[in-house]
Amino acid sequence: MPIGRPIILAGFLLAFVFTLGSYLIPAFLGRPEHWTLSVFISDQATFNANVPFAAAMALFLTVLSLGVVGIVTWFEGRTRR
Amino acid sequence: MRALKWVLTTFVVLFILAPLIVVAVVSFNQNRYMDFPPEGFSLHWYAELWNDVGWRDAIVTSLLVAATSAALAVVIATPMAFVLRAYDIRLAPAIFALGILPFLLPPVISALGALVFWSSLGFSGRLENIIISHAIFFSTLPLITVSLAMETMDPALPEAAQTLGANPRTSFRTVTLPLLVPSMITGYAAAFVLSLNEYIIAFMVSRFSVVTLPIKIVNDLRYGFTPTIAAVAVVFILIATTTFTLFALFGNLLKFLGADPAILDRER
Repeated sequence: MPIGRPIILAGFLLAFVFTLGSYLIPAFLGRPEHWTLSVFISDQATFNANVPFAAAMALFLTVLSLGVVGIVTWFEGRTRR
Repeated sequence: MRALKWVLTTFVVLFILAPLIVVAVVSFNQNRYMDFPPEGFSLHWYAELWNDVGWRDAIVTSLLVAATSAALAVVIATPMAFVLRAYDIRLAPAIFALGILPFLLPPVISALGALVFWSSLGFSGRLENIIISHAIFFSTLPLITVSLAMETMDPALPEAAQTLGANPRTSFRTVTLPLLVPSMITGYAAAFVLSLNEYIIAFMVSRFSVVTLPIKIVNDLRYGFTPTIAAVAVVFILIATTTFTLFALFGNLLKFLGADPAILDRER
């Protein structure tokens, strides 16, 4: 387990970011109340022509995903020492 | 313990394969509904892919976008990967991180960025826009593969060439570049397949005026299912599996997926 931990964490991060940004599955299988941020951003930008709102949400999503990636890598780097 | 392992493996494989099997079976359905188990057998929906102008145009557009954007991605990524490893650049890790950033973020962010960029330039809804946006987004893949090749390359090789009198340009052309070609091809293949499958960037950049295959599939799904969509999915699966099988057989896919080359050599 200790040797495999960086790889497990990397797998977790990949799956997390991938799911966080998932677009097609919630757009098709979910009703609007199940939409993810990705669907909402694209909907605002293309159908409602509200690009600033979409950009604000995109920035939030950027900070969120970079934050999670940052925290996990920081945690991993700290515990290894 | 052994039985448990088998049960677990079977379940995982089933969960991954089941949707593909259902789609493949439905694509041979005789009537136009999503019947499972299917009634009758027909290749009608595959013929429809080529006979219907909408589908054929979407296929041609997608292949064009994937082929050109993957080539452009390799052209962007290879010099970057080379320079970052061959020269002593202080900010190299930061630049590399910037290069793989699109893959660390949800793709909708890149899509929105591309949308804003193209509309502020005044060009929107053109085929070239999709090609360039895909090339930038997917340059991450050749960047990773070529960087790995640079990292695992024996530094003695270009040094030997230069000791034997080659100038840096000649040693790059005759030693380094040929060693990078397999990873450039691997990066091209990965970018090609992913560009073929990419929806959200193509959709937001296209502004409803260019239709790639994934856009066509989603548009059609909005109005209900036809087995043609299942047939397209099967074609996609075939393209992706053949590409990656070819690379697993003839290329160095395992190495670029992170396997230790020393261990691979030992098993060979």
